[in-house]
Amino acid sequence: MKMLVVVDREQYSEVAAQEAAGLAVNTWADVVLCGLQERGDALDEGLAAAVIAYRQKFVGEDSPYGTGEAGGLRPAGNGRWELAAEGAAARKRLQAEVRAGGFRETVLRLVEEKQIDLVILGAGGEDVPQWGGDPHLPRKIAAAAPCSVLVVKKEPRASQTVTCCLDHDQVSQESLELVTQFVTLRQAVLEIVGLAGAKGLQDKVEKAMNAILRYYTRQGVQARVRVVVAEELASFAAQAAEHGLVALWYGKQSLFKKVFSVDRLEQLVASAGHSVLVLK
Amino acid sequence: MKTLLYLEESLPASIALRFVDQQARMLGMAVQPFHVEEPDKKLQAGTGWVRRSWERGVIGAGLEEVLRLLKTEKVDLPGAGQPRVVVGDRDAEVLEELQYTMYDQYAEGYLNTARTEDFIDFLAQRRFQKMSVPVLVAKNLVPAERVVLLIGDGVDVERLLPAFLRLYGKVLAELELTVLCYRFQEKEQLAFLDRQEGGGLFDRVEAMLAEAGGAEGEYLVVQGSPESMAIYLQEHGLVATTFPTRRGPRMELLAQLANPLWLCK
Repeated sequence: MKMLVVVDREQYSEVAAQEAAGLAVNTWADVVLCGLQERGDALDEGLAAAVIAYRQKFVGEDSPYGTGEAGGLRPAGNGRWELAAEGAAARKRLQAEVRAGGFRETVLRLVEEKQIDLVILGAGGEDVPQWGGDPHLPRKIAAAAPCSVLVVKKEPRASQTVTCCLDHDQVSQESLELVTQFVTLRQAVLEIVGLAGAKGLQDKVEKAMNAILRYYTRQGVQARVRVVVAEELASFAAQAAEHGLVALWYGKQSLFKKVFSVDRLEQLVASAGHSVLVLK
Repeated sequence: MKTLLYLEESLPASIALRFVDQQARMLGMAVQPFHVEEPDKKLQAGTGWVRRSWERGVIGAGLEEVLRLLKTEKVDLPGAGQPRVVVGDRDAEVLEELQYTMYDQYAEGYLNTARTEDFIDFLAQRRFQKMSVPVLVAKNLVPAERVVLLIGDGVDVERLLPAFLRLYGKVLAELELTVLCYRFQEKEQLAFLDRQEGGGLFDRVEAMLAEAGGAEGEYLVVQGSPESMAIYLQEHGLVATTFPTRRGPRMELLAQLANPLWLCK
């Protein structure tokens, strides 16, 4: 798995980096840790220091990213600065860098360039200055990125459930495996939630839920199923988030397009007071 | 011992099939798969041989559906003969089957929702209201050896325990048993009260279990919202209690639980 952790200097990015480090160390993912700044004429030293500090969350004695202290960030041209040293005895790649440019474009370009499977980024409350004045960045990335996106809003706590909502039947193997990682890491129970429209739960969604349930049962993951009316998703998700992580399977065939449009996905990511994992 | 298991090609039926398979193997119980084809009244044809041949076709289609499910799930139910498929009204046919053949339990799948009303409507169906055998409502898959005896809120333990022991009496020693006295409270945070709060109910349950061969169990009195209780119980197994007859805290809890339910009449 290739993971992109997008950060700035704010406190929510530290929380996101902490969550990402826990997941990365357990999944042995290749990690790109990227700080974002708008202007390309000079390196934001505060951001560089933050990136180096966040990087330290990934390294350690038992870490696949090795142990070494990092040096400074060096210019790599075209508004990029890269960390010179890899961790000593690293078995997996941990790239740390800073990129300048439009935040949304930079993240989407990185996803394509590095063939990323999961983007992780933080989001703060409404009263917190966010992402260079664009507080909507997390939801924009969640809607536009071709890969899964985890928007981290709160410090992860001992969670009991990973609740995955589904409203279509196109579920990628990568997303199934990603969910397994979250369930294993949090030692949680998996809940597969089918979203019902005005006419109830579609047959194809029910069949997909059954196939997913069978997949996880074979994997030895304890999973359970439930149906929720799409209109009640926001309140259901808020309640489910009290007990763990909420994830949404967002596919090309998604009913989201009709009853749960991109706008509403963005709304949910923006308005939720909890972390949201968008699975693609 | 024998279970009548309702099957069709659906997610809840698939869950029921897999849970009953586990339970039946543990209890040494035979399982009779059962399915009712409910054709549209407008499509029902004639009388005499015309009707009989039409019914044969409908039954054949229903049988294929059940066999397809058994094949997909790769489940070889213990003691199961040929699935029994009939044409007619589902409530009436299930009740007739239960009346003319001795069964110890009726099992059916249920896809859980967040709405208590959906669960109340499900249990309000005539077959559940009228049958006299315990009902297994398979909502999800859990390890069959974990069992919660839910008491309090009007549960008659003199009815629940004998019925439960008729099925589980021989495997008591294999069970991870929890005896739970639930108290409703709107607060989300669960409060674990002193065992004495369970009053004489716990003593009575403990005595009946001991008489049946004994089961070391955990005895809990817990107060909190149905939603929080449902989360707490998610890794416990089957929840056994009496069939709820009115809307109250226990009905709310049973609706919220993701666990399979065993409801004795």
